[in-house]
Amino acid sequence: MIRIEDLSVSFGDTEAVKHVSLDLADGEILGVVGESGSGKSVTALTLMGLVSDSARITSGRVLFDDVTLREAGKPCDKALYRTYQGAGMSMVFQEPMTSLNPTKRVGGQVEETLRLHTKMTPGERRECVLEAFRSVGLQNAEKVYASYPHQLSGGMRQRVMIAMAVILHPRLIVADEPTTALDVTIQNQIIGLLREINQKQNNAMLFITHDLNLARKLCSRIAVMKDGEVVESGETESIFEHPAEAYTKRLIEAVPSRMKRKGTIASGEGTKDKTPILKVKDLSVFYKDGNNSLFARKKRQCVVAGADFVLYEGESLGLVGESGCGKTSLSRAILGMNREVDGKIIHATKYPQMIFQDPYGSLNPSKTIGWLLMEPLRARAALDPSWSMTRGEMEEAACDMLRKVGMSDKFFHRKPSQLSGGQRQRVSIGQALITHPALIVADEPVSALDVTIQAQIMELMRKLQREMKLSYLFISHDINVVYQMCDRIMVMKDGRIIEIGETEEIFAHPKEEYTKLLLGNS
Amino acid sequence: MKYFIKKLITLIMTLFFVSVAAFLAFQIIPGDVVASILGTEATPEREEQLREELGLNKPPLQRYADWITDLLRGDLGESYRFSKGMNERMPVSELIGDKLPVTLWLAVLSMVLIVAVSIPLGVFWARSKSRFLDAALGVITQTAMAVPSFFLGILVTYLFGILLKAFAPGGYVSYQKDPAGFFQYLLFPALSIAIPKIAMTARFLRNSMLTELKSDYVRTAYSKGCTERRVAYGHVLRNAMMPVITFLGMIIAEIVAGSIVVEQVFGLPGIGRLLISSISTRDFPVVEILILYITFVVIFVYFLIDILYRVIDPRISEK
Repeated sequence: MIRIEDLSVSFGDTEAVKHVSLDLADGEILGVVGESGSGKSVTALTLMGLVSDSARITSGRVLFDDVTLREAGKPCDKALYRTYQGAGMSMVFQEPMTSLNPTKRVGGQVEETLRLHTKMTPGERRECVLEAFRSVGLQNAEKVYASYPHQLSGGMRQRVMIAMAVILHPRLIVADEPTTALDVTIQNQIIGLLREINQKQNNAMLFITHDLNLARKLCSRIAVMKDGEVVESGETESIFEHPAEAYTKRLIEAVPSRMKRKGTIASGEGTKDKTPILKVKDLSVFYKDGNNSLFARKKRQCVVAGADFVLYEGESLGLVGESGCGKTSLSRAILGMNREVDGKIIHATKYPQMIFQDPYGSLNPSKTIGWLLMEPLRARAALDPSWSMTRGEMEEAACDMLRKVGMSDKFFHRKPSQLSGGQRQRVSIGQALITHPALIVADEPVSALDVTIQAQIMELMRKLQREMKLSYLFISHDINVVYQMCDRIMVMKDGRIIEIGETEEIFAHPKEEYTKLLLGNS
Repeated sequence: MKYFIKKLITLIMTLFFVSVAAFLAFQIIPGDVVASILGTEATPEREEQLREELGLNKPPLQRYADWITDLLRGDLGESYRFSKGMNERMPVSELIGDKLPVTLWLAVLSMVLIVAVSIPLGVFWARSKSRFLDAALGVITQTAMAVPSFFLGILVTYLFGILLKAFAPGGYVSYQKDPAGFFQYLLFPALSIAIPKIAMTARFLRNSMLTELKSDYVRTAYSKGCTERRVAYGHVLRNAMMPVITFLGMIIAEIVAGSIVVEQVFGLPGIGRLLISSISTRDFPVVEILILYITFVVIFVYFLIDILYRVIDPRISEK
């Protein structure tokens, strides 16, 4: 029904998509899997007629039934596309927050699709939207109809997006990473919903994801993309069991899973006779309402309640929970970045360091890598005169650190914008380690990275842990990543630590319902 | 409700501080109103007499207290300089009452011109695909922004007044005499005020639209099958207006507070002229009231903008 034939798309001189051919039949779910920059999104946007005007189609064509929607060398026929967009084919995007217009009520936004493609009366349109809301599992459809996007949760917003996409029963739904921005428990519900819609309406679905496990759960066929090309495609199970291409094999192996655990140094040894490096006793963390008014009294809001745990030397302790559960607040309190706390935090060492999630935002873009690596040394020297170094010594230390995190000296004079995500995260790690701290708090250090890069960064962190005798407090929403990295795990929910124990023990015999839910969903 | 009370308290506090500051400034700056009224050759006795008449012999604190009690009773005081008939000083309320409507109408007319022209122009500009048009509009707006308003006033006078004979330069008619003639005359100073502001606002809106057009929700709108026109007016404009509204608020405050230069060029008896002459003659009661008026207008306009924000973007009122 949908055929993409030999499609190539370029932006200026760079070819983003190279000779891609895909086809899709009614009722089929095709997964397009690849890492960032593999051209999967550009392919989908070209198919939908949404790719920007600066893109040129250099070869091939896009067919819907027998109608040619887009052809090489011809400009995009927008009027033709508009008759399909929303009615014959529709799209669900990654970010349900930004993909909805923030200043319009969601009911009206969904209704617009009907207004554009049907001749219904306003009353009929409203009924139809409410019906669609109910069918995607939004309770209290009337209330949702009158809500603005920011008044809904992430999962609800994505349901609204899906309602918008399926309201006219299009024959093709393109879903571009529809669950990536959501928590695991919500992720599963959304995947279930998409599958249900697919079965009920028998529409074809192009499912784009970087997550192989997800593609395996949902798709009957898979196409693996790399650098703009389809490197392998076929039935899902046969690809997973017998990947033909080296890249596919690497991709499958890189996915953190519970089947193949890579041991950490502390595994197998008991923790009882170890010296604690960090003790947290009955810690509660508060946030003051950010209201800067003269008139309003400041309210304290409790975000972490009664946290109680010990981190031992050389250990990796994982902290798992969904967004908003208080894991970042807890880590900030431990590092003294939030002083609104009750209870005790006892550090055995001075100057713990932190690795942040977003390697794009957390490095100052106007400084060189060398400057960034030397900055912690300068800061430390200001606190502690025994750390004062000459410029030469600092440069030496920075170059040393670059090598330790697996990068060469030539990066010393580069700027963050010239580095890839993985390289930036290596620099972030280098920044944290250059002052030789014993305790590292890593807040989602691999969440923003592609799977193959993720595996490399985790390997690096393990290697450095052995070499530098580090203790990690490793925060993640991804329980599989934690399983790979940590000796013990804490599970957090609504500001409380609900379960703590040895990794194997928690995975084999979870005590709490919530932990089971987390484990079952990932 | 709580919000309005808060805003009201802020307004009153600001007005109080501004009035104190203006009073203090008048204590500090050199120059004496008595000397400026009587000239340098007055006798000391005459000076003393006038000083007593105006209440200037009292200590400053008491003078301020008297002034503010009068004000709270609704008495704006009397001008030191202007007189009404024989031996009677002109009440400030009458003095301003004549001139305020001129300035206010000028401001309203300018604002209508600015909003009515700059918003369609900005949207059109943001949507224009032609590089030539884009560059041309860039040059035109840049020029319009750079021309000083007195010069623009002269240009408008020359073009519309002398060449096209659309109005008689210097032939201002008051509202009471001929309302139609009044507005017809006012249109041209309003045009001189509006042209640079239209250029700035259109430019600002265009940039804001171009940023918004890159947002994800725009892609969603297209994926539903919206036309470009629908996306621009139905989705993007509202979001793009947010920063533009702040900018418009600043412009309104500036215009309402008196477009001194343009009033001079077109010979309009507005408060801009009054303010300048009152400062130079140290006519304190007039200046103080004008300053309070300007402060009030500025704060009030910002208050309206704040409300407009909440109407446009529902996220703000819920923080």
